[in-house]
Amino acid sequence: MGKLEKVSSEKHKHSKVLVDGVLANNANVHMSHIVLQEFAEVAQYYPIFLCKDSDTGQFQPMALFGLTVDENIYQSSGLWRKCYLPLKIQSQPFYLINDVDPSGNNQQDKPSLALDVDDNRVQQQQGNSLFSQDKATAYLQQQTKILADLTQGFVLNRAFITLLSEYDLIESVTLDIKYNNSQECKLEGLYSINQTMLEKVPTDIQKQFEQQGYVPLMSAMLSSINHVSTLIDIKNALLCSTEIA
Amino acid sequence: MSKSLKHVVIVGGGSAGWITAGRIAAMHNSKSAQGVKVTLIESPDVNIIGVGEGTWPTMRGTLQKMGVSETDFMRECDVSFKQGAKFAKWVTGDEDDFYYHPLVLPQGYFDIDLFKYWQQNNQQPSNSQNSEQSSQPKSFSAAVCFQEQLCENGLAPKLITSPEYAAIANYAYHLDAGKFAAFLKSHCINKLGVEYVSDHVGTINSTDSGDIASVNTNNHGDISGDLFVDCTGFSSLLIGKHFQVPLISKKDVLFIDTALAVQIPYEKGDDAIASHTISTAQDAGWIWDIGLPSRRGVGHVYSSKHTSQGDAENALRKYLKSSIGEKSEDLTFRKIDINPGIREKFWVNNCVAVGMSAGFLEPLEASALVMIELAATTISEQLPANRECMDIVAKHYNERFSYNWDRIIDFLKLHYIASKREDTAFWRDNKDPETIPESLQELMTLWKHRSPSEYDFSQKREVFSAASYQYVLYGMDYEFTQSNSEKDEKEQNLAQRMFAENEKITVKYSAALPSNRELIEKIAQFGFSKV
Ligand SMILES: Cc1cc2nc3c(=O)[nH]c(=O)nc-3n(C[C@H](O)[C@H](O)[C@H](O)COP(=O)(O)OP(=O)(O)OC[C@H]3O[C@@H](n4cnc5c(N)ncnc54)[C@H](O)[C@@H]3O)c2cc1C
Repeated sequence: MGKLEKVSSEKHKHSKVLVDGVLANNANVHMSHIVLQEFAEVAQYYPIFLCKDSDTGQFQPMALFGLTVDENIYQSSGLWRKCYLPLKIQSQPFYLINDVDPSGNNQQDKPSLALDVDDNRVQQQQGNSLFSQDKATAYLQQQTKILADLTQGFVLNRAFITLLSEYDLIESVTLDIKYNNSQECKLEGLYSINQTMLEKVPTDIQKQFEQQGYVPLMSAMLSSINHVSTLIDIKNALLCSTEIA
Repeated sequence: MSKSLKHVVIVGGGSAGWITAGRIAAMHNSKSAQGVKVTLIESPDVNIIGVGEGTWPTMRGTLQKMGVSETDFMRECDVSFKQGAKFAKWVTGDEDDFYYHPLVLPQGYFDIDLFKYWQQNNQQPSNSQNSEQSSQPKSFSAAVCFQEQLCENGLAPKLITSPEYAAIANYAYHLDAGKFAAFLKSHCINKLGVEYVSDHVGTINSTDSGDIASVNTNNHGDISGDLFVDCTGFSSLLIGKHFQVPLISKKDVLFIDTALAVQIPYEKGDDAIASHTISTAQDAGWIWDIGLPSRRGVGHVYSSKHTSQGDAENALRKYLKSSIGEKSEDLTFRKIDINPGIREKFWVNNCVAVGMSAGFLEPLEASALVMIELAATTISEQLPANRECMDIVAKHYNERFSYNWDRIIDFLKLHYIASKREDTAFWRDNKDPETIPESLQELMTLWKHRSPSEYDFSQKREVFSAASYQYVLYGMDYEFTQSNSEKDEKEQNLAQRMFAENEKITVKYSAALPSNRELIEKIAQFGFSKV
């Protein structure tokens, strides 16, 4: 995130956001936050894991894009163009900031919409305008909606994870990867659902999981891990081609 | 065939009672009707001692085995991290005199004895090329272990992302003893199925063979059981008063017999919380200083033969003055008499003593709780199947625990005899050979020529490892004669690699770890995950 400016029709009257470029901008991003509402779509394309936030130690669901820090295999292989993009990526270059009311009257932190003016997609020549005649364009409205969905999603995430922790359903996963060129790497700090524990959950709690719609989410997480081997295959191919080159 | 053991009755609800109850109940499934029943009786008229705030790293395993969440424990018992002890003024008594006994083992501990290489490095200070680097010679503990630096910088031993009980740097706890007993009580009753009786035990009823048949309570009548655990603290109701097992005094070895204790609030909410116990030597004893998240616990333990209560109070005030100023004048101290000694036996008939009823030594290395844990572990692991097995288990138990207590005595005494202080009678008397156990005298002779090693100690679960002896001996600059043996070049290289490695991880961990207070606040807010 570069320089965030609170979005206003005055200040950003002429600002435009290029349609393309979001993929290139995330070429060095190896994972992204995701929210419960999009688990089904995400799981079709990406491995989903839980990771700990370094500042709070709290688990966050993440979509994995690469097998090492700063690596985005979806971007480097061109695969990304065919994939669903997580809301967190779609929402760029917009963010929510906690607006401090300068008058000091308003006690509550009200999140407000902000634009990253350092993002290279933001300029004044071409792309989607934010405002047209002082009114938010359909594009801006859509971006605002995505951020609202994300905000709601983080709350839903929290409840889901609390329940998983409560029943000891989270287990640590270490990926030990050996590429065809015998290069090895170990990916740590990933967590997933502990299937053995899941089977032991008492029936009334299983019911609760079902009622809250958590069962398909857990299945999505577990099945999504298969994408790791796809990533390894792609990376093997990439490694091979760079070696030949 | 003799009747199988079904019911354990514990008398006393201090740390000893609840740790023993928790370990037995968790291991022998007291929750279920098929499990061993555990009843704990606690007198509403006799308070728990309520001091004892420093633990050993073993406490992590003890709590985990009882199914306690580390987050809950830390939040509810006002817990902070302890990464060892800093001994100030123990060697010479000078203002800048200190050394550390950290909890992390020396680098390469199982592969190489770094002491002689450390000594050699110090004897030829960097007269070589890079003399601009004329750094102070590093202390033994700083040269071989990164933890001293973490403590000096007030850093925590782990991250908020570390799982419960997992350490980056080995750690123990500082805790509020009163809250700890209450916490364990609720855990044992609600989660582990321990039955609780709040009542005063008056008389003991015996069987014909001399076993305890039952204990008589004021309001609940006779409570019978198969095994009775005496956790009644200094009153030693079962092992001492009933069975008349004598207390063997250790006052001729460890002189300290009185404590003055006080709790000190922090000056400001964000004052640093020390992540180690600070022990500062005095004229006739020493002062402990333990930082909890909400307050400090400070106390002066001393030998009443070597100083008066008035002088001891003044020494404590003077110590506190440096941190809290004039407020130290208005404090009142709680006086606790301690009688250093150990029961001749700990297990007789169907009764075993755990905690202060079994013995008590000065709190110098926080050995009391660790002995309670060891006792609770042994009793639950060796829990006799029936009365017939009990005498055999008891015999082994007594041998083993006599050994353990003797090692603790040796280790505590070591702190006094390795000291160079001669300035008061207390320090001089401590070096009188008459007061030094023979076992320790022998080891001291060996250690003039080689480092303390695992070979010097025979048990699988020693209370203090040879590494602890090394940290104390070399921290105190104990006289050591270099053996003339040629130094192996390969080993020499390994040693230098170990020193370099230690320097590297010291820098790495110092940069990565948060402050002790910062982590404790995050635990309050977010907690650790189990995985
Ligand atoms: C000054 C000082 C500092 C210390 N510092 C440390 C330290 O840093 N680290 C460490 O590990 N240890 C330390 N200790 C030791 C530690 O406090 C004790 O080992 C620990 O608290 C265990 O005590 P306990 O449970 O044996 O006895 P207590 O806490 O005294 O509990 C005795 C229990 O027995 C019950 N009881 C007594 N009589 C009867 C009866 N007739 N009927 C029914 N119940 C009865 C009481 O109600 C009470 O519940 C220190 C001790 C002192 C004195």
